[in-house]
Amino acid sequence: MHTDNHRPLLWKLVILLLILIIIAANSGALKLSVYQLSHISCNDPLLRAWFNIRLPRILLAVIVGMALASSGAVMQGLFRNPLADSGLLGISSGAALMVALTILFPAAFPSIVMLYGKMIAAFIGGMIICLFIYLYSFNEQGNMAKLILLGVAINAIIGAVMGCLSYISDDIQLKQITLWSMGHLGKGSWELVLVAVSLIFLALIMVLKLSYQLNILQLGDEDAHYLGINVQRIKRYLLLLSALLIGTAVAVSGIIAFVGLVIPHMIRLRIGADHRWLILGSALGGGCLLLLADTLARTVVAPAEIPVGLLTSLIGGPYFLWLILKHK
Amino acid sequence: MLTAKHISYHCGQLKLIDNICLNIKAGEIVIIIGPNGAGKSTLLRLLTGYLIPSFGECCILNKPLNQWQAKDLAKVRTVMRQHRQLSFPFKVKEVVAMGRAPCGKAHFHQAISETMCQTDCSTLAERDYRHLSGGEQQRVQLARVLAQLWQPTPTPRLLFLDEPTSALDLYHQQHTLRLLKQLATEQQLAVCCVLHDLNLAALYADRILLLHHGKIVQQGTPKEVITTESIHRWYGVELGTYHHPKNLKIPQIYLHA
Repeated sequence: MHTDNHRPLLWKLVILLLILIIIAANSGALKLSVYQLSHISCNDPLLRAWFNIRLPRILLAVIVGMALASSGAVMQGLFRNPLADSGLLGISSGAALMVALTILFPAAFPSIVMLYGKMIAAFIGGMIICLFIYLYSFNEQGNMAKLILLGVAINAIIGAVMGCLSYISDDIQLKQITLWSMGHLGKGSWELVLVAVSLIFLALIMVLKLSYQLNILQLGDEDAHYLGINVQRIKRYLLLLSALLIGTAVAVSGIIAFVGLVIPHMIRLRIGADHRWLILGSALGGGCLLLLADTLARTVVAPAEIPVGLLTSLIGGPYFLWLILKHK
Repeated sequence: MLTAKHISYHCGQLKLIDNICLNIKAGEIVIIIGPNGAGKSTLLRLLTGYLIPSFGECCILNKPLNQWQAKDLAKVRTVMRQHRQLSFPFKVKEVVAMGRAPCGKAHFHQAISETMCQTDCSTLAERDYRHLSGGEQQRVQLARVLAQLWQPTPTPRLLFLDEPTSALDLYHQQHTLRLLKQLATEQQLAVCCVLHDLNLAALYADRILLLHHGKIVQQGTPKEVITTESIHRWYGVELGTYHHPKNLKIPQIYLHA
């Protein structure tokens, strides 16, 4: 009686996600439905293309969407601010800057880590900005306007540095950086999916384990302390985990904006603020949204593609505007 | 229940709390009064273990505060601070349920229902906490801290409150202090409460401490502490005192216009 059960809604989201996966698996530049697949031989190049290109891409979209939305929910809880988002706070740009550096100066890293090189770089970049914001915001006790301004400043500085990097890069590097900063899931491969799944699921499970403590933190640091919570430790873990989620997502897909802001907000309207449900709901909702966006991105102008990050910004931007106008 | 031995708290050159000794027994209501900036909230933070004193030691149940596990301590002492806003749409029942965090699943529903009933919050259960008035939020916070300490049988526990009635209407001021009195006598709760309303303090306190510049300058029964001279001396107000018509042991004050 004293805690609501939102399991039915979560199941609905799971079913929606499965339906979207089936639709996505059926559509694309390659006209190939799941039904046809069952009638062609194992060695058919079509099947291989479906299995090695489309399927990993679908899974990547789902998992990256999950990471972005759940990390958004965690960051908002951590900063006690419904507008906290990795894009607005400049965490994504921090990750982007580090990735641009690895694109420009690949020799600086040994070849073994190059497969994970971008991921590690993105993680470090995101972490540095996270840490900076964390140190700043806890002196300010969740001052909303200042936090957003801080994000604006960080984004401006990193934007300028990125401009310099673009200026000195050659054509191929420039194309890589540009494409990467618009966010795309086109390079989905099974290795990438496995790495992303292992990191993101691990972080997600840990975050869910801490979700009740995150609820208590909403009472304020001092009150949480009186409830027997080790406030500093829980905050450190959560910050590290959300940086891991964002870093991994940014590393495999580039910058995909607004998923982390829009989805937790929408889920909160239905489920309420209890993070035990909110984070799981956001993960599922994020998976749905990004899969939908990516499927649209690769089918609307097929055989060409729109970068999925552009598409989420096109949807998320107006939604964000509406959010601001509604909460004056 | 609680013993503080010569505790001081320095912040740079400033002595926020200066050599305070204090005992609080189970079943007793101790009320701390004092002008703004006297160090009342700082003293509360030292006694509850949120701040560590620069000198001296504070024990709860004869165990020094630094030897308590945070979770065990949370089961025997709690603090209601002046109310805070939440950023997210938590329901009232969810906020109250947070009080049971250190206690596990045992008696979960009973504790919450009972304390919400006691604090007159039952009808608010499904409401969004952010949309409540200041007084209602204060009652919900009281329900939360009472839920945290709730036990099926009377055991010694410590309840600290920092101006729990600041936003309450007259009815709920009386209701809250009567409830605290009842919990102290029936449930062996030790209550330590900061109040600004001296008349209210005189009505319900077993003992009053008057704090000024980090020192206890007066302590004793309401009759000993709330006198025209002492209140005039430490608060600097022009006032008079009289006896409560129903109980001559209780002093009440009135201000000169």
